[in-house]
Amino acid sequence: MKLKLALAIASLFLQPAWATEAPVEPSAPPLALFGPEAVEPVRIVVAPGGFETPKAAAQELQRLVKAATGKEWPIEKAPAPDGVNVFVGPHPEAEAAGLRAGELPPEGYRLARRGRSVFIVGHDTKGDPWDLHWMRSCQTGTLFGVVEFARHFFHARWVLPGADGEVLRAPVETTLPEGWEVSGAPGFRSRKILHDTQVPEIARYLRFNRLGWSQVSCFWHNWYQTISPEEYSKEHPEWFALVRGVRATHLRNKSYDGQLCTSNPEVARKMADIAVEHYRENPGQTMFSISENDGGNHCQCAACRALDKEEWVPGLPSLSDRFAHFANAVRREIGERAPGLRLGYYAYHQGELPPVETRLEPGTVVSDVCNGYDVHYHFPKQREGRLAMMKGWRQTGAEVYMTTYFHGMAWWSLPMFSPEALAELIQTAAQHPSSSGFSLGLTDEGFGVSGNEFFLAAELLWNPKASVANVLADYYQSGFGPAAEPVSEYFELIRRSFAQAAKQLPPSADEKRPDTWVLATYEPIRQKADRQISAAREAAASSGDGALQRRVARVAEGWEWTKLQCDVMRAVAAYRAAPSKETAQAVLPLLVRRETMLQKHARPGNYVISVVDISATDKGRAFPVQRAEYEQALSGEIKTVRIPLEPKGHKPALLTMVENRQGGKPRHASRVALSVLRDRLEFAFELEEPTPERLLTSAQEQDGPVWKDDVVEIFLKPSRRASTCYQLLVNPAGVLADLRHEGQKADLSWNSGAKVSAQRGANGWRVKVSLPFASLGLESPPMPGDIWGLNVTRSRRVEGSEDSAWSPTFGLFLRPERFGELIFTKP
Amino acid sequence: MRACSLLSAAVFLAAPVLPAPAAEPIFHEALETTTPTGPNVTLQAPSAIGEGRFGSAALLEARTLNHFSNAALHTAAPESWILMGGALLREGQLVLQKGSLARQVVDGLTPGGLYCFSLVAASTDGRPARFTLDWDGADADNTEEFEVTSKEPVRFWVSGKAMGGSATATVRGVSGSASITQPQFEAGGTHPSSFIEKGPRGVSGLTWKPGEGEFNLTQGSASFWVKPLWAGGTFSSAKTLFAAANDPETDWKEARSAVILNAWLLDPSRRDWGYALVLRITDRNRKSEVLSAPIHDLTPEWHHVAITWNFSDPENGRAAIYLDGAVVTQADRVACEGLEDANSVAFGQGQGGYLGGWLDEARTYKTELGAEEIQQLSRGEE
Repeated sequence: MKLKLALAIASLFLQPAWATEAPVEPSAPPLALFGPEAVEPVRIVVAPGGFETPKAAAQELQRLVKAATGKEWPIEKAPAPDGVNVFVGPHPEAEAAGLRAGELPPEGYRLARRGRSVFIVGHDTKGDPWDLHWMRSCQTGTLFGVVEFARHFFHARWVLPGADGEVLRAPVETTLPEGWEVSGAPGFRSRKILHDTQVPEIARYLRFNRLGWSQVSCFWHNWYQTISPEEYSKEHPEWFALVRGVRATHLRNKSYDGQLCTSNPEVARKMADIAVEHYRENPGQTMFSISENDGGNHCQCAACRALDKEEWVPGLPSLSDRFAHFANAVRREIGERAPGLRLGYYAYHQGELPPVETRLEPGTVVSDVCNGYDVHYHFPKQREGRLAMMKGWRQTGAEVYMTTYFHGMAWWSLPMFSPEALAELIQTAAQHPSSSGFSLGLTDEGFGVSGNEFFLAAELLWNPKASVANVLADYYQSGFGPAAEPVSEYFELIRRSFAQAAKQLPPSADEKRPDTWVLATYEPIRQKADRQISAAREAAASSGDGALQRRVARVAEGWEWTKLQCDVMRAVAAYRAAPSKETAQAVLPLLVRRETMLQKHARPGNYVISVVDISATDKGRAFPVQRAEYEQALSGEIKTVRIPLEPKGHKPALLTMVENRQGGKPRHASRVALSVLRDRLEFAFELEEPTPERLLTSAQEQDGPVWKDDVVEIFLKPSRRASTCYQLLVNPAGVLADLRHEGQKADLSWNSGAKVSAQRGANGWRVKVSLPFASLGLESPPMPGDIWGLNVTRSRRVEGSEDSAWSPTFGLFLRPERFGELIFTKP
Repeated sequence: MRACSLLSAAVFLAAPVLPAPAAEPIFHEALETTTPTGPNVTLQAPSAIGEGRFGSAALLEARTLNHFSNAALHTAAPESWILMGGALLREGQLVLQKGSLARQVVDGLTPGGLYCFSLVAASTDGRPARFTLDWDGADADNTEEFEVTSKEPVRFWVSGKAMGGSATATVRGVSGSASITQPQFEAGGTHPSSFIEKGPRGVSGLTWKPGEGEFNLTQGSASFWVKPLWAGGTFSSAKTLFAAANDPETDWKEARSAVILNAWLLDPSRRDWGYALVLRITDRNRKSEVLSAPIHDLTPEWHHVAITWNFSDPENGRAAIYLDGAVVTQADRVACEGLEDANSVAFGQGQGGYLGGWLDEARTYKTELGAEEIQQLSRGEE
């Protein structure tokens, strides 16, 4: 659909499709709330006592009215006879008017006008309305009623968290006819879009987009926490999966494998006891997860195998019947001991097919899992299979909750815009009454690349019958105003190109193989997308609207990020095809740019890309973007120095520095003699400098800004696996700054106890550092065979700057992965 | 499981009679000795000839290196091992008591590479003894405690990804007295290969050079028994079971007329080709058909593996993988232009991959065998 037509149609849909408006009595005079004819005064009335939500909703209503009209409606505890009373939440006057909160559906609301009273009543429960903790979150129907009010009068939309994301217009309507009524309720009982809900403005964003739930959902992988092999395998090895003839009594990576022998009645009994005890201690947790551990490797004993009724894929059985059998056994063992407690588990991997024979007993909820549907959607066979599984589960009679990482588990936060696929997933689930909820992972906080998908998903979860085209047109128009058309065209380019690229993939390729589709999606549209982004920037700039400019800038930065990924991928592919110093050198500046961009977008409130997703993907198997591999290619072998632990001392080892950016010869040589004594390390630096009188020595006090001076540094990492790293800096005046790093945290209060001296000579300067082991947090001095991370560096400030290092880090010095190795050997 | 019995290989089972299938193989090597039976056949550097599925079999492994120096534990070279707390190096054994340890720094590692530290342990006095293995320099703590309860030697191992170029492998006594032999620190995967005393081990494999026109790859079958020592593990490169090609020197991405069966074990959490048997058949125009079958449940015991393919009909090609007599994946109606003659047929080697396990009764057929015939081959023991 062309954008202008879509926008025109969207303007006809100011009344949301999922809210129903009652017919009005034409004879009654309209009540003017806004504009020059507005009746005054208007007050907001909230009954004292009661839940938190009506109070919060009243404050939001007051804030939104002021933002849209400049008027401040006071909040009162009681109505007054003059003007207009806007009742927010349950109130005797509302009850008298027939608006009873208890009669509304979960999270539902009802808005009405009666004479000079306006009522906003919702189904609320006890709790903090801004707390979206999976267990504590309460129902906030009245707040959703206020959202409805703001959508109705001010065309309010929330397109990203924070002030920039709240878009309001001056009142689009000013009056209410007598008898006016609007009511609404969510399409799914549970609606989650994964974000960091601990961030207040994100929690607010989610609430304003009407996300929430009226029942607790809990499906996570849990066996390793409930019946862990570490706790129970010694006494009951038979409780654990028999895999290749051996009981699985170990966890891999703390939570993988270590599965249970679910056909063993004792296991079901134990799980039931744990569930009951947990429920008694945590009565708010009305669902208990009995999901398998991740990682597969399930029980192959004859009793478990006998419960499997079909193959999942050739060679591997479907485990759905055995899991359903286990859930029923746990359910029976719980019996009447925990009324109100439900069980939940993932229908996942080998358990993803609907069970053939076993029917789940009431009180168990299954979460089917459909990850990467954006890609599956484009392969008819996979799409058909996924939809058949969804329908199959929902036809078993069990209550089913969909968990989906729509773009795959974690990803590089690229704009993989697939509205048809997203809508198909939600709308297919909505066709079945047994569908109770959705947990949707997009690209957490990546509003610059997926803001449109967040908006679409939230709207469809509230109203699954909404038109996708209208919702998107509404998003672009609301969020980007005069820049709506180029922004919409930009995403439309991506949508078409992604669909085209996906169709060309071999069926086995998916999100784990980015090289198969990333370039194919974004490279062909690069110039066209650049033009749309430029047009959007220009339109936003000429509007004079700062918030709009920042919203457009987020989309533009998302595109810059996307192009950089393509550049990285091409360079990495070239390196892998022909590894050489030249191809490695081509990768490195791109990766440095990438790191800079990630640092920028990691700041709270940035909302362009999901740095969390990107970091997870970088650590995974998708594509090698760690600098170390390419730096290794440039610098050759890892630097090592072997030092014998001689009680009577030894000949010092000599470390020679290289230029730090390229690994070549520095302009002025730097050498360090390293000795290990019984209780300390000794470093003697020899630093050539043609004009030592010009050395910079501004820091005069210990722990002062020594790093701004000419400086030598020592980096030590006694445990290469731990996050602790020590850094000592010394300037030509012999001033020391010493720090302890724990990951990204630097602690300047740490004291190394090092003895330091510095001396200038005719051709350079010298530094000696004597560092006691005692200050390094060691339980004992190093022993033969221990290997520490070590680097020594120098920064010159004379004649511009030059950095050199024993093991070049190709950037910042504090890069432990680039440290050399200090190996302590036998005497 | 991180332990396997060395003695089990020495228990010789009575060799069952293998009935001949209906079709005659054009190549059959029973691998009874280090000398192949047929013309133009080479059995290159097997690590061992030992108990097979039928008679004897060959252990075929990849080129690899034991990073330990003095792995044979010569007491004459004590400088290689750091012994502390009363650990002894005597008569080709490390002897550990409670609180003692032996360690060695290994170097030349590739950061990010998978490495496996293994050794053979036995109780010195027949009473239970416990010890831990670990290698520092991995990206995660890989310390594991093990127990030996008798004098029977058993191999144990721990694995991880290297963070840097060096690592320190340590074995510590926890209780009792343990005798240690055959320490090995090797690259490539989570499971050990057979012991290498010194220097890199050579490449092993079974290869046959068919004569001109002897074996056209448009259709055929291969059948063999394999004992995959890597089952359940993780490895960074493919385990090649079978490779027949017109030009064996060409990389698979560019190959014409090639039939290659690999086992990929990149990550057990993967459900796609990354942890599966993968059959790639490439026609004369370099168009490939790829079939894969998961191998998460594969055990390190003897298994019968067979592949069949037939692309005589350009519009209706077929291919299948069989495991223990059952088809585990197949494709039909494959459009294919046919394949050229094979100039090389290899078992346990090819296109850069190696088997890493025992191979027995390798056979190749000019025709596509049927399911019945494959089952007959897989029921050899009956």
